[in-house]
Amino acid sequence: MRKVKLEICSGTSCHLMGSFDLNQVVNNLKPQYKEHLEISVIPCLGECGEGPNIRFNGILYTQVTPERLKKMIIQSTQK
Amino acid sequence: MVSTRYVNETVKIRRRVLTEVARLAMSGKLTQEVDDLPEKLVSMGNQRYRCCEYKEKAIYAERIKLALGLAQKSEYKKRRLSDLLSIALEYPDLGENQINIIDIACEGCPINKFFVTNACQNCLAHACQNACPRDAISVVQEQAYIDQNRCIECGLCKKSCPYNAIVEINRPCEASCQIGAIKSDTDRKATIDYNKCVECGACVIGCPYGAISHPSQIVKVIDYLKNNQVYAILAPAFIGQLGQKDNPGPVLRALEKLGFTKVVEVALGADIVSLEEAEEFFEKVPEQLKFMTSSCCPSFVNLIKKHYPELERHMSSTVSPMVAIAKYLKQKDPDYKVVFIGPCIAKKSEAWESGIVDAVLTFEELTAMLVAAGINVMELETEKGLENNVSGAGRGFAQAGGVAQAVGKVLENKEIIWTPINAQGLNECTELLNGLRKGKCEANFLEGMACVGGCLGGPGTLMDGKITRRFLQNICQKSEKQSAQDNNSAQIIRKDVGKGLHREK
Repeated sequence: MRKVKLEICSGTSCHLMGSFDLNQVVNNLKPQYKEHLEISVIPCLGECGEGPNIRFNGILYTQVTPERLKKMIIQSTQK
Repeated sequence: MVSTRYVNETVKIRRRVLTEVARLAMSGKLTQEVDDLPEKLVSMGNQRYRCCEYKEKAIYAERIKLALGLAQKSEYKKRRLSDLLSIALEYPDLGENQINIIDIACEGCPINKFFVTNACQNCLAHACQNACPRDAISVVQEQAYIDQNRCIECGLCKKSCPYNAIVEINRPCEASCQIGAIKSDTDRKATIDYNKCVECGACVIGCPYGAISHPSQIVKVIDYLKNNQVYAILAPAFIGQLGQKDNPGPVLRALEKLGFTKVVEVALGADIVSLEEAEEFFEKVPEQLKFMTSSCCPSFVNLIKKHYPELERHMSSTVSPMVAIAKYLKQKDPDYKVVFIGPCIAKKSEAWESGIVDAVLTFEELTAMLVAAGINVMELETEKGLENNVSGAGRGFAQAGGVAQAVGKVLENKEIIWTPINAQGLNECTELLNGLRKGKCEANFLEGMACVGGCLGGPGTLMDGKITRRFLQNICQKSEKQSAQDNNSAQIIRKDVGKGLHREK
């Protein structure tokens, strides 16, 4: 199975809006989900102020909540 | 204090307000644009929470007042933000009560403590009725019903119900306050009893409506940065707050870029305090005092002053690391402004009381300023690191147990009895203070910190204290000097400041 690419912005603007909570979602994932992910932490995704931002399979998502990220990961790895 | 932190919507709202106010202050556009800010902020949030947009805007206006440094006062109500600017830009003293309730943001959560849910089966046993000592429970429409006029909130009905059908509802603000300083007034809105409040900030985190907050000094600091030479005195809990793990360099560089002239670690003050407090302990315990308590956590100091005045003579008279280092810097460079940056709300009162620290920022407020200035800490490359004039023990002040450890290290080779104990969180603090008062506790030194985890768990932090603790411990271990005693700079400064290192009685 092809890996799902997840980039989490950890720039100061996103950090202030809680990007670390998104990191924690990833850190606490069960191995069955985690093994499908290729995770990287990015210093800026260029949408400061709309954070926390992620790029998921090349598509930018803004104002991401931990719940939403969890759902996205689970859905994409079930396909 | 809540130990697991989560950036929920109320936190985001507070941070957006701080960032936008900082942005306007930096660009000099407060006067022209501050009145448009509530509308802008409403559109920035992706959801509506209140009954209507007008209320939403009115609440934002109050949050903006706090961000401008104006406490919630009746004379500021119903006035345009631009009209209040002239007052705000004179930077009124924050005074001694930092915790503010934003009236219109308080939803007046239900105050009936025990409540029968639909899970009630109207069973034959009626354990609840039998358990109730006040005959407050009757059966109405095939369900148990609690007469709130009779209920004394003992909770026996809840305990007795075999279906767990009776729930206990606590107002989150009241539940978060461990010393009973928040009550509801006649219209059910929260009010703070300032005779009891020690400004720990737990309620600021606890209120799910973000109705409890504190005035900020960001605009004042932005003014300083434009017009003065400014020292940033940085509390040791800063490690890891900006997502930099245990690498302090980028944060130091960011402060420089923001305009601070020099950055000094408050941990240097902690080394001075360790030396001073160790000597004080050596002199006083056990001859003059059976035990001594620490005095560096301002909430803990408030707790003793307001709730245990008879124990005040047991509290170390040594000033806090913040005041110690500020006194030294003001002595050295009287023209410089001194801005404390830390995890703490209560430090704002302490700074005001000391008259020596010009302003206080929380890590949250600092980060909002960085965002407003377009500084991304993750993109800063730097060779910078911490200086060698601070010991690992001094940096360790930021974690629970760190103060006792640092003072203990100084006392290591002395022939004395040293039995320290540490309390983290107000619950533990009150428990141990009660024990000491009654003579039931054998310890002769009590380190008290109002937040669980110590300063790392403070209300002005951005990271979970459990995570930053690892980073802090790395830094402490890596420090060249391990004890304040090895620190010549601290020894010299201590002589320089002399008597100024003790509180006036």
